[in-house]
Amino acid sequence: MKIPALLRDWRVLLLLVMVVTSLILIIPTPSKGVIVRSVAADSPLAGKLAVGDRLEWMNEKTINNPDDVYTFDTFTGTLRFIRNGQLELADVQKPGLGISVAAAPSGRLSFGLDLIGGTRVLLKPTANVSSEVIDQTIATLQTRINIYGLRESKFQPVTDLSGNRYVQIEMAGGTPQEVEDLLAKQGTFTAKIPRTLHLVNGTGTLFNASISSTGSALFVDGKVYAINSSFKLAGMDWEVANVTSDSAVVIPTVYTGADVKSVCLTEQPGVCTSSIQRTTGGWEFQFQITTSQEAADNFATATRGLQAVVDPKTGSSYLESRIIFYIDNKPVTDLSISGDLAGRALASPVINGFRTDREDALKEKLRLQSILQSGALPVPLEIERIDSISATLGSGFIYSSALAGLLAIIAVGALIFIRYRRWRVALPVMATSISEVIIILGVVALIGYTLDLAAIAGIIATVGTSVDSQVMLVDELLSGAQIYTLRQRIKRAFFMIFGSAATVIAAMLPLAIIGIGVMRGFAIVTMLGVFIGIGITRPAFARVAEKIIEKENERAPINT
Amino acid sequence: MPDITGQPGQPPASKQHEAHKGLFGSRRLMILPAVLLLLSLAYLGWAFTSGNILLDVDLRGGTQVVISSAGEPNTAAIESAIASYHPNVRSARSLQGWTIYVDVPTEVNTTGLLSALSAAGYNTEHASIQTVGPALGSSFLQQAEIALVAAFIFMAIAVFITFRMPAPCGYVVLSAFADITEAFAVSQFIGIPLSLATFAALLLLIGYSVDTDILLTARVLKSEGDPRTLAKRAMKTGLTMIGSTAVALLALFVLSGSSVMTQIASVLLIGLVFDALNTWITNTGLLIWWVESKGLVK
Repeated sequence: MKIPALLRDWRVLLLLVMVVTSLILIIPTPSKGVIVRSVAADSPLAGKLAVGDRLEWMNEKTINNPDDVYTFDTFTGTLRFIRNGQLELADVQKPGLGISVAAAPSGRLSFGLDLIGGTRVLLKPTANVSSEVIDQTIATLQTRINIYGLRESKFQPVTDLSGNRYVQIEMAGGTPQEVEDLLAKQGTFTAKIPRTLHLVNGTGTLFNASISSTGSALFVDGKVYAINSSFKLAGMDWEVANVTSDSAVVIPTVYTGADVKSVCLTEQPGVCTSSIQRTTGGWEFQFQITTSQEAADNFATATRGLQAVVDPKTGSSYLESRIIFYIDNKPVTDLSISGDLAGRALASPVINGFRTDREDALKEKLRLQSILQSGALPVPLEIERIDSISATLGSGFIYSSALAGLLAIIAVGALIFIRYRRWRVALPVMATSISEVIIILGVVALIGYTLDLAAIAGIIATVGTSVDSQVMLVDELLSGAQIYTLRQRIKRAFFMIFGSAATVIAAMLPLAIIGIGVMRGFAIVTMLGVFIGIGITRPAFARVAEKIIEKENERAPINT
Repeated sequence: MPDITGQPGQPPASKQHEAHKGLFGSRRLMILPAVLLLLSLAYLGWAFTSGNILLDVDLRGGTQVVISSAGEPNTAAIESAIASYHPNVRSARSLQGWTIYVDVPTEVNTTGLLSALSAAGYNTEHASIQTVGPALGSSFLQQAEIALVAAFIFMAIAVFITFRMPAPCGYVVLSAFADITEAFAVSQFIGIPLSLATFAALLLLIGYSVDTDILLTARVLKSEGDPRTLAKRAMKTGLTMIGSTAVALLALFVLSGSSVMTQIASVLLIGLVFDALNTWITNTGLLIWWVESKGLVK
């Protein structure tokens, strides 16, 4: 076999160049440090680290992998760290850095969620909406996710064949429950202060309105309101909650989501509160929000004239009514109002809550902060699909599919050897299949396509069709030696190779066009593989096979 | 597409023509695949009309929890331990041990299910959870059906463009149709549910199974010689092709340990067995009969 002569053939040269270029693209290069994936709002490093920064060194320790960072989870004191080559300082008062990091990417191949772990959610608006509404929804969800601190997330509007619009979110972390609570909640916020009106002979006043009771409905300035209906008074909506002959309970809405101007995300002494403390039996969290002036005035109006009651145990004075905060009409917290606030404008109320577990308390606090800060979604969403893949399960898949692929090629090589009894035939078949896989991976890396499980299945499918074509070629070259010249036989083989490639592409085309789930990737990669096969690897293999068979036939004819 | 205009040299002597008239290429043998096809169609027809078609969570809607286990899991024991969630438990062998698939209805609270599973002694720390709404599932199914019909039509067009002869092309398409129908019926029969993955495998099978049919048709129609001899030679090549694809898929089936891969590999493996039958009995029989009846024997 004349290697130099073969090397001068442009088809073989093209294959070699493609393989080498692809290898350069996909072989990982060692890199330093880890990449920051998220920084929680209450992290001691908040403001000093941003998502995407490279962490290289922390307190005399060179950071090589995420675990090196997580050993600092119990650390308190002054933390020195090198971020993007620059030394920074942070004061860590309590354990927990509140950041998540990932190994720095070392190659250009990016792996899909099902291989590296993470959560993919498909959310569907409950009504038909325009693409603008979808964009607005995505912006709102992005705010929520960023505040909540879910690791690096990707948002994508998706439209299916029937024109239904969806929002697809991929995140490196997050449990289905978190997704449900954080993303699938519309997040309509209201705060209400129920008020009991005491009626004398069935009549009374509320501010300047005259009230009278029929025993089951309420007259306000001459108009009748049944229970659960609401009336407008003093710039607020008042809901009639209960009516008897001598009393009535009415509930004004003092704040709505639109009134929330800002949410305190990090404690700033003297400015705003955001904290979590240990209390009896668990953990209490609190954070302040700032409301509009109108909302503050509403608070003043709604609390005017409320009686103060003194708690006999603590001696503190509280108003007779509590303020109740709702998200999507479900009460989240209700708080007592300090006795001295009656009739005063309150522009920065504190929302608090309690959980028995510290982690739960932190998450609930973040969830409420995220929803309040982002505001309500323009349209309610429902979860159509959640895939939550564990990272360990995923990385196992990379390893086993690589092994399965390699063994598949070895098995094919063995079979070809058994069939033709020539390593000189079997080895090029294996080499061609391996170079095809390498070139597909190279192209995938080059165009920035994400390699997921379906794409790997596509690559293996390509190896199958590729081996089929090579067998056709070898057999054609070996058969009917007395009728056709070698060149004619290659031509005949390529007729069949093109025919079968055309049918694979035809079969995969609909799947590649219709965007059904992950199988689109399978179809695209299979088609890509077929194109690389008929364009690059099979012509080169044909040249090599031609030379080998010429040579082998001179030595001893191959028995078919 | 290259045109085959190979200059014929010496046509091979066809004196052994009669000797080849054995079982190979005979129409009598075609009863076997014909019965298989009818049985498959009948089974699928029954399954579709009676609602017994097995659908995986991604097409039916539902929740699937995937956990791994070092030892062989007792699926019946898991099912009874979490019986209140109405589960359907399967397991698959992987390189690192076993993978357990727990299918439950969409409305199930996964947090509760996971704690029930860990109470039953399974490690749920690295569980993967997939939930698909029923509406989305049925929309996937509908789109998948469109994709299947379109793929079949496109394949038929590609075959017609390749050979430009209606009858032989019809045989190729018929044999591909039989492959897919039989592979689908048998995979359903042995309990492999239709999912996006198995569905993609069925589509790929269209491409795979047509390979050998194209080989056969090209060798018989575009070569000089006795069709039976040509078909027999082609079969040797074709069986090597099927064999090499089968060993590659077998490696995937045994080693991958992922349900997507295992499902794709098993459907393709089943399909390849039928491909061998349909190519080398159905398609060969029909093609030889056509060539001989047309008096095309050279």
